[in-house]
Amino acid sequence: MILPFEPEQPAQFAFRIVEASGANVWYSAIVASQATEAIAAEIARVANGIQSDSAVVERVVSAETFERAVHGSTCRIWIGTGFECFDESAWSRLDRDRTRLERAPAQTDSTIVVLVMSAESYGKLQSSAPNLASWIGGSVFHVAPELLLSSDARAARLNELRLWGSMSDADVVRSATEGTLPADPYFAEWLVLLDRGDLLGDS
Amino acid sequence: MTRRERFRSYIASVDPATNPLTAIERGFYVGPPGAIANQIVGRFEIEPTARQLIVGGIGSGKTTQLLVCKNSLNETSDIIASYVDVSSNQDLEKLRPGCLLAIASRELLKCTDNIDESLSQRVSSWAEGYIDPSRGYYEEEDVDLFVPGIISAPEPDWASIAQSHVDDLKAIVETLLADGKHPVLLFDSMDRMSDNAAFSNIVREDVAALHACGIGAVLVGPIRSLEGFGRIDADRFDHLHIQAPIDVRTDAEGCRFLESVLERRAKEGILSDDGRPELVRWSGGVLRDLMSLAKLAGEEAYLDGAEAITVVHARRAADRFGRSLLIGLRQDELDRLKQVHASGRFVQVSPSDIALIATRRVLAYREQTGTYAVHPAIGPLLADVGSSL
Repeated sequence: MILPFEPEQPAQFAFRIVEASGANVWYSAIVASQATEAIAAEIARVANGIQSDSAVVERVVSAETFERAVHGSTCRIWIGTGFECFDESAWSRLDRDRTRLERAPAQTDSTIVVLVMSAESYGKLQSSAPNLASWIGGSVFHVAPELLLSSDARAARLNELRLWGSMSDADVVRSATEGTLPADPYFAEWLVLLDRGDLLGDS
Repeated sequence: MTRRERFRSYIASVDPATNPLTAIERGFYVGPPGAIANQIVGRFEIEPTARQLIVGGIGSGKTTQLLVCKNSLNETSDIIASYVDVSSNQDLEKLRPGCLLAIASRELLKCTDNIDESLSQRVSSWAEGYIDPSRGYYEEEDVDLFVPGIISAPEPDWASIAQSHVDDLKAIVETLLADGKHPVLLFDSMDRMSDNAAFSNIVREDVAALHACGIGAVLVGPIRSLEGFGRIDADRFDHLHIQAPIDVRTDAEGCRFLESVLERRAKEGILSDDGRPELVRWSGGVLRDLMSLAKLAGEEAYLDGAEAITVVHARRAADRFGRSLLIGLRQDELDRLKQVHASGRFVQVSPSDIALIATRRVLAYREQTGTYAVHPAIGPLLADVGSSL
């Protein structure tokens, strides 16, 4: 059972995690079970577009590989998939070993772990690994790939961004193309809303 | 400081997964009313070998209290205290009688230089293992058959632990006592043990042996230590401390404390005066949930373009938090939550009831008097959930 969350697009979720800050930050992205890999890749693509080389995606196959991957990663944002194969005992083990899942910031000021999984898998995590779930807390987001903002909402948001940046849509696209757009997540959101997410890596 | 920097700094300060040690070092600790750290320290000051048990829900601040306790005890001239996260030293699933004793021996060896090398070596071999050169070459020798006498001496409580290991630990303690220091060990994370029998065995054997060696000990135990047969485990301790959530419905002093926790972390007016009590209200008095809500509300305000976190952001955060707590619940559990929410009554009758408490869907404010409540972030959402009742 899951009450409907207001869904976010992968790009919106990516802005959120890039902006996150803290020594040991955990998120979960709830997605359709057949879409975990694709959405994780899209989140990483946008995150790396906003902040280069900030995110990596890894598929884990067991509690052991998950522990090793999280602990061993030097990337600021570690995005994991593969949790659909975790049973209750795997989550219980991770719950007991929660301390070992703590990532110490290395070169970066913060480290972020994102678990991309189905609602069913998150339910297992919550019941079998309540200590780990408490690290995630309410940072659980429903991420849907094909979601489009209503045209009114999109227009309203674009208007806010134009006021904020004192620029036109054309100015933003031109700056992104020329590689002079400041590395600010609001500009990245602006490009995505203009359907020019392809320019993210260039700005 | 730009708006972005202000929010990033705030969000980092309320991250619910931050190591409590880091939070203390950053000056974020605020002592709760009736802090159990003070009670534990007080007990050790008059009874240095006391056995103390802490039981409390996830995210209630147990580790923080232990760390504060350690710092306070080490300011006492005749006590030396060590904090041990057992799960960092030992696979909790393989925890068996003797493990705590071995961890204790290893920790206390770090506290003195006046230990005989052979004793130190024995402890290390026992705790970490060693290569036995005789293995593989051993030939069975003739052994005279021993015929037991009629008198059987009573076995100590630590029947599974070789007496020699207890004697070694006692020798380390005697060295510390000769230096004028009573050793105290604070064992964290054992509340994550899922094997009830294993926890009972540890309590029966290791805690008894630690006490016999003259060591004061604090264990963080599982919630079921307060229920049914688990109560026998709790009875083996001299003092039981319950770290319950703060009942935000009735405890005004507790609410002020929770607000002061937020004030300590939220600088420069980023959290509005009306947003603060709103976050406290929805947290249900669970410290880590308060942090989680504060973080979510900060993200909402930032993405909203606001300069400060308001009631609106707090309520949005509570809604999201409540929905995440509902994920994975079965229909019978939802029905149970509705029943508790409507009646305000909760009697634990099944493992599934204990699970509702362990996962914070139900908050146990005062278990002895049966004061329970559905987590406030879930309450308003229950009306939207289908029922089989």
